[in-house]
Amino acid sequence: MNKFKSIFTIALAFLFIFGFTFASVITPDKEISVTENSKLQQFPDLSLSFDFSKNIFSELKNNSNSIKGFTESFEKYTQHQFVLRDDFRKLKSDFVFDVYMQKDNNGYFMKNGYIFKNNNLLNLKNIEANTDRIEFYYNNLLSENNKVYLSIIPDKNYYLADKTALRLNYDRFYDIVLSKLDFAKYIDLSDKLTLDSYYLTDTHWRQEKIINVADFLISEMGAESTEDNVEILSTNKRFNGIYARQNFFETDGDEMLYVTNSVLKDAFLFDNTENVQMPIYNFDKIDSSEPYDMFMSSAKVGLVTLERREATTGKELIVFRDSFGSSIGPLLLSGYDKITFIDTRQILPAAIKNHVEFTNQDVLFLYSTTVLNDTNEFN
Amino acid sequence: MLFSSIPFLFYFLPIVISVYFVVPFRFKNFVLLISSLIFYGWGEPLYLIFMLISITQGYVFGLLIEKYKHSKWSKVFLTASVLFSLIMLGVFKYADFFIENFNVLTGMSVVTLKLVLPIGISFYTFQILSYAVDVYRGDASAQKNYINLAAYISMFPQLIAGPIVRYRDVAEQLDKRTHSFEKTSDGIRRFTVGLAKKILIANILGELVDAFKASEEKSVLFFWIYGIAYMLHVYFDFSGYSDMAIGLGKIFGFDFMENFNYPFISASITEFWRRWHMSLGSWFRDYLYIPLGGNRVSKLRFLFNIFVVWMATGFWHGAAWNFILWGLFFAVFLIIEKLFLLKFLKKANFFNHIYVLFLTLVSFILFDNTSLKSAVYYIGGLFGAGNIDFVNSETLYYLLSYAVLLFVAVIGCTPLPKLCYSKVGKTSVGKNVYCIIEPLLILGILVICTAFLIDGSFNPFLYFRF
Repeated sequence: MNKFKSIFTIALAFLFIFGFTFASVITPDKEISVTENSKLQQFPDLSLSFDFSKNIFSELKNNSNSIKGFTESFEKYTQHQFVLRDDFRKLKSDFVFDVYMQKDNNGYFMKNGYIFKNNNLLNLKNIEANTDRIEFYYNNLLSENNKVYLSIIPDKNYYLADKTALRLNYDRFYDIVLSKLDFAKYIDLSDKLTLDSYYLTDTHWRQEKIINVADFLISEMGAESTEDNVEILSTNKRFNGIYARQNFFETDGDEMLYVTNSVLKDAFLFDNTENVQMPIYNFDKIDSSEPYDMFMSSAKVGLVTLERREATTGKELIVFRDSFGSSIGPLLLSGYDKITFIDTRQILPAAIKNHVEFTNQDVLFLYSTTVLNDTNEFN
Repeated sequence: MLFSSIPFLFYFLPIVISVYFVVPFRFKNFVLLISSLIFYGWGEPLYLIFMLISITQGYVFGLLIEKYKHSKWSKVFLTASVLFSLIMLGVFKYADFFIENFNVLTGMSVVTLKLVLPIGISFYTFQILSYAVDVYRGDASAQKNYINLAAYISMFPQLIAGPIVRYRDVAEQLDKRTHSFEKTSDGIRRFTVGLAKKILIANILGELVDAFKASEEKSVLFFWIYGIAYMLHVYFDFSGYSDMAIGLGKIFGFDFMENFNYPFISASITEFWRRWHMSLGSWFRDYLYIPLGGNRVSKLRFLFNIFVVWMATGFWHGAAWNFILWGLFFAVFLIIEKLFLLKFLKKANFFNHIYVLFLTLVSFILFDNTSLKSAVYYIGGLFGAGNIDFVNSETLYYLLSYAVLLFVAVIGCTPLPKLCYSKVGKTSVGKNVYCIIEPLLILGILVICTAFLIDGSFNPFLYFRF
């Protein structure tokens, strides 16, 4: 009996290990992970050389570093290219939630159908760096005739009712940012939004839920909203946002809706850096890895202008923004003839001056708490 | 390379096992040596040279010590070997510590060497030291086969984090060892248990420790959670690694000594150190404490011996004052117990366990903080120093999130699971059921561990810095 148990143990263990080794070796490598929306590590290169005419110790060290680089990349390669990678990741997620009953897996959790990511750590270094850059743009790009406004979009965790959840110290966050950026008039959006304003499976807000937010911003900036015939239309597509794709929660995803009105029907979007016109809503993007990019044809463009074909308001707006600006952008055109959207993560400040002359436009710095706290990518 | 990694489990190990079991016995040690050099060089290619130099000096001096065993030259060669080993260890591990402290004391600004610590140097250096001493004492014969000695010292199952294997314990096994289905299956079982301890318990407790350190609003309860989690994290990380090392040893036909024996059930600090990192404790006992005279000396000398041994034990763990203090912390309590406390502890059921757990919790906080200031801050936090709340929402979040894991870890560090498992296994029904269930359970654990490895990122063992 003992012998049977021993042989059975060896057989199962070796079958598993050898089996998956073999499967991973013969399975072609994938370039991209669709679920994670990221590139997968490919088999790394290793190049060794020894020049005997050079210092032997430095040659040894160089080759040693090459081997180290190879082994580090190889470890990542074996993780990324492991057969049934997504199934194993789902198994881990199930174990964390169902066996260990943990509240989150890699910081993600689901509550009442909404997927959240823990964001409780205040990153003072990022906040300082980002506010420094915003101050730089104010001091070096704007003219003294620009009216300057600031609005910070709370992430959806702000509206999480669960008192036991991890939350950013928003009071402290806003104190730090607002005291640094006191040159701008602050427009507080916190009571204009609710959890319902955000997608279930994505970090972004829903365009059809922020019409009132756009109107509020327009009126706070002294403009007047002139749109009518507001329609909320469906793309007839459901999508899984970034939070759902990186995890394995059971969700039906979000319905992709968009807003049109009389102003947008007679407007055009122009990419100033590539000199091409783009659709305001790019429906091809719905089936891409990033469906939110449908709004203003992606957030990953440095400088675009949204303009009415016929000027009626006499007002112009410049928005320094992140990806949240892509969906509210079209709604803001109701108060302006022309809006220039600048994403300083994609364009250098010096290049901005080639496309924009700062005179007396309204200028709005519109960023999310997520970008200001979690990233440090402003040029 | 780590045991708990995809390259090791699914590339290195299958290849090594395949080659090892195919070659005739006379080539098995060579296979182990080559695979161990690849294993070590994978993470530290340049420092292979230093390990090979250490092995070579151990080999040469071992032969010389034995050749001249009836003359004074034997002691000379032993001294040379010991000095060589200690200088190597001293330069790589302790040079900057001494330079920095010299600078503080003298006000000078001697430049530090900034040498990267070769992985496992503390472990293989101690193995070479024990080999030389054992040959000198006549406890073992010098190994004439370089491959065999090199295979023993560099053997990948225990090279980088122990257990510290004495040459005399494996000398015979190098030349003669058996392989069987039962031994291999025992090895697989042991390895899998160790893998689970590391990946499913230690790593996740490490996340809790990291969350505590990143928190900006710590509460008293969070300090206690941190202390308990860190203590358990070190135990499961280190004992898990030891289990994997012992399991791999069994697969290749070796029997390594046990390194942990449920230390948290101890009723005294004396007992704790007979259950924790036993291979290190016995090494210092046999090669430092007893040569100094042990307890067969005057009381004053005995106290001195304890302090020296525990200062060395602390210093072995790291080149920083907190490690030395950690060792001396235990020295103080070991002395107090030896002098009078032990007899009271033997009678004080339950309170003796609380005493041990509390002291080890505090000691591990000291162990975790190279800055004495932060160690004092963390220990003070246990008692509300700094006017902090007893509990807050963040603490509750983590307590609720990690409650099951903490429960599993607490039960897992006692003999209870093993006792229950063995009891059922002794019944005739249990024996039959285990024939099917146990292999399936091992497979299940391997699958879940693989899932965590694929989802996770880099997860080095704590004791690598040694």
